[in-house]
Amino acid sequence: MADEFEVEPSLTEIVTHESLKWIFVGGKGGVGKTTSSSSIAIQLALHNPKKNYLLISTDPAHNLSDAFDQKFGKEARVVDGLSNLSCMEIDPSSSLEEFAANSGQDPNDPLSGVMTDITSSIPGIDEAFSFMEVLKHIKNQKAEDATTVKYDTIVFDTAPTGHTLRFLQLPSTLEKLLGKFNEISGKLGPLMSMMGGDQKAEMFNKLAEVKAQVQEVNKQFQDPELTTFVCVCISEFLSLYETERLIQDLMKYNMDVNSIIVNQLLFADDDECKRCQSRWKMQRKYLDQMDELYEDYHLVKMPLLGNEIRGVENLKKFSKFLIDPYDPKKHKDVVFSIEER
Amino acid sequence: MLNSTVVYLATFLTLLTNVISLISHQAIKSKIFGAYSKLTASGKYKELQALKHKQIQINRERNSISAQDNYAKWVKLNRQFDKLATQITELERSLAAQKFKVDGFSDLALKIITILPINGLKLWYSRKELIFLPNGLFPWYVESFVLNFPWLSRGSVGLIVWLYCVDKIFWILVDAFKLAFLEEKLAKPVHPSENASKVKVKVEPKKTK
Repeated sequence: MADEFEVEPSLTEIVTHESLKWIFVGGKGGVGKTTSSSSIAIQLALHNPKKNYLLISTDPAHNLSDAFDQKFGKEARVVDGLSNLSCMEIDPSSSLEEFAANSGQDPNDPLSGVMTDITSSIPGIDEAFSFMEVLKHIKNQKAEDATTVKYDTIVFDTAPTGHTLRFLQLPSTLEKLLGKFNEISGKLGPLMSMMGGDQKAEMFNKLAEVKAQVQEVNKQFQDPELTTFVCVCISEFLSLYETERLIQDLMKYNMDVNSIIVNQLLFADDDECKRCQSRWKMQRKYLDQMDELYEDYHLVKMPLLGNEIRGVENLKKFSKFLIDPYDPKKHKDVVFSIEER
Repeated sequence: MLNSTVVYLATFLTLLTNVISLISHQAIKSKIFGAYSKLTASGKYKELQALKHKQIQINRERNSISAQDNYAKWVKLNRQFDKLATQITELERSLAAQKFKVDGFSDLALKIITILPINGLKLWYSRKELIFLPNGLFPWYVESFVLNFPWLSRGSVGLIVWLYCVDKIFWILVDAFKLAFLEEKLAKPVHPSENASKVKVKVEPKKTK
């Protein structure tokens, strides 16, 4: 960074970063997280054609498919038109069934059904399964096998409910969970053997293995050269306050946050619409406060376009402004140039 | 030990135990903790006071400005407030831990003082005849079966019976004192009908046929 006093309002640093492996994109619901995370992934892919990128959605609502206008699933699929970007949508409920089937339990057995029900209602279980995908990928990264696809950076489109933080807290939670599990199985000894059978010892070994992997991931998530979090918000009080709280919590977990994307800005200085002018005035009030409050952060200001941003071409147009800041005088035409899908 | 020494010591210990239970263990523990913290941790308490005072000031300032209009300032005050809150909880936690340790220690000390010596004495001297009554002071059946409880010789009194009497007399005197000089504050009894007016229950007149 040549100029130490001026932090540039763009995500260039992230897009051109050599060593970043994990990028989290999060914020309270409805602020444009999916659009932002897709835009970031697209810019990464466009800037570094030789590298491979993966965009994972941990939201059970299948929003990546809607954003790219292409069907994705729990296996990573390449985006049409961008060969080095793949998307994956993790569906926690089907993952759970798969997990149960893999552990050798008959799905029709009522007892195992109870176990499945209990497991699926553990808070954060969605995050746990996406986390397992993460672990799988880390294992793949380390594997020398040429057939498994390796990704240089993984972008996470997090769920809107703020479970992101629980996801990040997973390593320490899992440790506690494992401890409790040991305690309980010690007490319920004979009962457990009735339900689990010989699988108990196997399960323990697997859990210990998972714990070690989880600690490794935790270490990576706290390294600012490997992981970063991008906050997405809109220029309104509630969203900004939520972002502030999110940033404070992330700092507690030692996760690097240095970028904030402010979406749905009107830039209505030269507009004739009175409503837009009034709203823009309110947004600008908060934007000025944000500039003062987050001096050390990359504050990226994204415009509200005339149409929904769906499909790779539209996302490409929109994502340009992450790198080249939107100037209402220069880029006015984009607002109404979004094609309808 | 001389019989008289045993009797005096045991009486003293019993009276001490009773006085301690009168004052209540809790009061004694808090007094001990108060003295201890005055000696060692008064600095921390002053610090806690200062932090809390500062927090109240910040809160007042924060409530006086509009969050929407001065968002940046409001958020900065918020951050200060949260930082102080964590400092305060940390300080309170360490003080509570200290209190727990001191309380545990005084609890143990009290228990040892009130239980060990007296029971030790009782065990050791239970079969010893300690006090000899003048002949014919009490009827024969009292002297032979009651006063010399652990089957001591007639006319003698052992430690257990003596201490029982001391204990009983102590509490009788305490009750007499309370009755004569202390007035207990009783809650004013409320007439049931006063409560009934607050409770909405439909009362229907009895229909006599």
